[in-house]
Amino acid sequence: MTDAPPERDFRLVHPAPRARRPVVPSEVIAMLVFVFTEVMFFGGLVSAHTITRSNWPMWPPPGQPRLPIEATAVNTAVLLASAGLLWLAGRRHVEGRARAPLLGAMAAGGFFVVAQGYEWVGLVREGLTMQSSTHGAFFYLIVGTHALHVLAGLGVLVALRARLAAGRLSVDEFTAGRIFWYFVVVLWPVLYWRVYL
Amino acid sequence: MSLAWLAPAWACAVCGAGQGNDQGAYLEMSIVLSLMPLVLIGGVAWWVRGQVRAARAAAG
Amino acid sequence: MSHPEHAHADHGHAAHGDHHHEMSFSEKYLFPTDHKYIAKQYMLTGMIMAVAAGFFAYAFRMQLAFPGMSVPFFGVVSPTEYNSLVTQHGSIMVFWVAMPVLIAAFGNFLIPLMIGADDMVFPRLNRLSYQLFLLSAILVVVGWFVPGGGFGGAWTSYPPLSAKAEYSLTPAGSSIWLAAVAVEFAAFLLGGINFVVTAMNARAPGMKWHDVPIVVWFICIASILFMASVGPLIAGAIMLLFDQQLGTHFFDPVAGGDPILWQHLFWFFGHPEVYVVLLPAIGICAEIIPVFARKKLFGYRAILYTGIATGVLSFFVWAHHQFVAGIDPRMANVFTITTVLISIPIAEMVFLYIATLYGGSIKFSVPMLWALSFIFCFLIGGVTGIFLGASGADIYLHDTYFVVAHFHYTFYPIAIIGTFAGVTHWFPKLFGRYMDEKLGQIHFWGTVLSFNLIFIPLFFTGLAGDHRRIYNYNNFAELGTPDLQWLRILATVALVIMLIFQVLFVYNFINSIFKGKLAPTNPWKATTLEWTTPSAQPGHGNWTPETMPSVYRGPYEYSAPGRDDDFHPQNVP
Repeated sequence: MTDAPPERDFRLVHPAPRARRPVVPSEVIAMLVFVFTEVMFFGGLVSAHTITRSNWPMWPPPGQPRLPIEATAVNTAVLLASAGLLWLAGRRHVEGRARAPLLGAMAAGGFFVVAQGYEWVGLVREGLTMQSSTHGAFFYLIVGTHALHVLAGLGVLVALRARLAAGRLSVDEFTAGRIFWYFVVVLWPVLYWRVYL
Repeated sequence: MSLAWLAPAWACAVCGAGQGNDQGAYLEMSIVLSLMPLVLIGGVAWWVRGQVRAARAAAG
Repeated sequence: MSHPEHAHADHGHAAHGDHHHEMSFSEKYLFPTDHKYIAKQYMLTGMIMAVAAGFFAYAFRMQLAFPGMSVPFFGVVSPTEYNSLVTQHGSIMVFWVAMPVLIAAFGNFLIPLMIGADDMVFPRLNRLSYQLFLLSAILVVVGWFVPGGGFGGAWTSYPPLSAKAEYSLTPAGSSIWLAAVAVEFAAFLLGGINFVVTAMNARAPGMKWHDVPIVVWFICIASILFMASVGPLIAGAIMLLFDQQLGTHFFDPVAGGDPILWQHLFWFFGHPEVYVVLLPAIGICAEIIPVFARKKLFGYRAILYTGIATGVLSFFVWAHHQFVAGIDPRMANVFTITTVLISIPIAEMVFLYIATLYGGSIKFSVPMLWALSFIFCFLIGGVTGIFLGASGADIYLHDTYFVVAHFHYTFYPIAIIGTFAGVTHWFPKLFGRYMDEKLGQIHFWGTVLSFNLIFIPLFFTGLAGDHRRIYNYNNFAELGTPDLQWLRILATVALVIMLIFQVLFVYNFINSIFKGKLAPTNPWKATTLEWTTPSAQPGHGNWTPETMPSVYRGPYEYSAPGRDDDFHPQNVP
């Protein structure tokens, strides 16, 4: 099957008989369902974290390096800004002016990843590793999994940018891609609250 | 549900053997994890219904 | 009326363009995007895995019946091998037989056909789903041959047994198993997305939500249930993998972890999972019964709503697997109530099926025999589940063979009887030919009777105290008695007989594909849309432009008063 034009008819035979126009676009439903599963996955991680730390008399356990709460707060703001820029891009897509805010969102997302990576290197040097304590293990597991999703989200943004440049980005595809990025961004403050604070 | 809280439940020989500090956390997280799918699916279903209704109103 | 195939070819030249090129062998059979071929790929893989898992069951049951003796075609079963065999049997049957055949194979085959679509909405995603699934199956097989052998920590994989290599004795196998499970979950996640989106958006004109056949609804609900419950287990599985390989201590109580946490995460998925596999199987019966009773399904909306209610309730019962793990007894009380409650919607579905049969013109064809035996056997499974759901009784029965017999009386109807029902019913649509009816009847009676002979003795050995996952009961004075041993031998002999009867099915299946009597488009005179299409070519869609269906009524209009025919197809005005 070649690249589908923005309006899709699911019948392979042409001319197609009067087909139903889907009310909610397929790409959007697909992405919503996928994000729903991911939310449950992160829910599982957070609930495991909550249960484990309630077993400890003191959390974080003594002797572990302090987490960079302030620096990460700044980072969080940057990530939220990228979601705002992407929202703007969505609004402007119909007029054809989505390029700039989309690139801005990508840049902000990239900054988040690099800054977090820098913090990580510092933490490892101070002795917080997956093996040093359950605290460290959960930190790297949860924040690391989120980081992987941010990277995937950046990949999605790059793909959106490519299709936009080729003039083939349909409204529905753009919406689906934005949903994934919004998910990755909105999830982060929840994780920040549970893991860092 | 009031039956759930009767004291004789403690007569069970193997229940409550692992009385950790995490009992409360288990209960809370169980509730959260159980309700999350319902809220999420319900939310999506409600939104889709709204879209279908809007489309029907626009067409008919 | 011109032959649809002929008109199809004519239109193909003019209108199909790139769709009409001759497809190579690898495009057609190895890397298809056509949902019918992908369905057959899933079915074939699932059946092959079933043969392996059945063989494993044979090996460990022979060990139990004749401890220490060399098992024909296997050799002597060592204690570690015993654990591996049991674990692999359970995992493979749940993840690599029941799920791919019931959900992926039947879902892929039936959903587009029954809603009047030419293919899934995302055909290439569909192909990717199968490829991921195949990879997971290959990983399972690889696990059997690594040093240490296949994972032996039970399909529930509790730590610390599963987390530490010095306990499980299968260091490589443990991680490979986790990887296989994770990849398989990804495959079903992608497949489920396809099912839901297709059922929502690609329906034929005129098909409203209450005209959709029950099996399509139930496969979609099962997919949603799966996707809602699998997340926490994936989280737990990653944590377990890290415990195994990276030296973390998520589940190690010595270092501040909690083994009960694994149980909590596993069973949060594990319980909805059984309803994930139940719903498609019970949906298949909902399709077969109206056809062979020539009667409208009684209470379509009631069945649909009870299916949804079952799905919702299934999220609130999981701790009944942990009654003796030391949970708060007040929590146990709550879960007893919810567990007993969930038997109500299923019982209602059974009543509705019986109400469908009542007053019908019943034909005991092979698919009908399977559907009826599903109800009968599943009822026994459900009733015995009530004993286990009561936390008081479960204190005695937990981890005994009573549990094993209970879940086989539920799982076997789901995975095996449901599969046979679906395969024998849709074989004419899958392959354009009939299966041999006589062979089918012999296979049916042989299988169902011997199945019951396997597990009824096991209820009694369980009540007598037989614990699960024991390698040799002669090591226990009170369990190594001749009476109990005779029951174990009876169960094993019945298993061997049942496995021998499956040869009949394999022969019937393969022979009928090539030499079966040719079947018309609608051999059972059914009303649903899949019976309106001729055996279609892969990649060319399911209907021609002239025969593309529009839907005018519900899916079970049989014996409507005032009509000459005893069935009124959905696509006939």
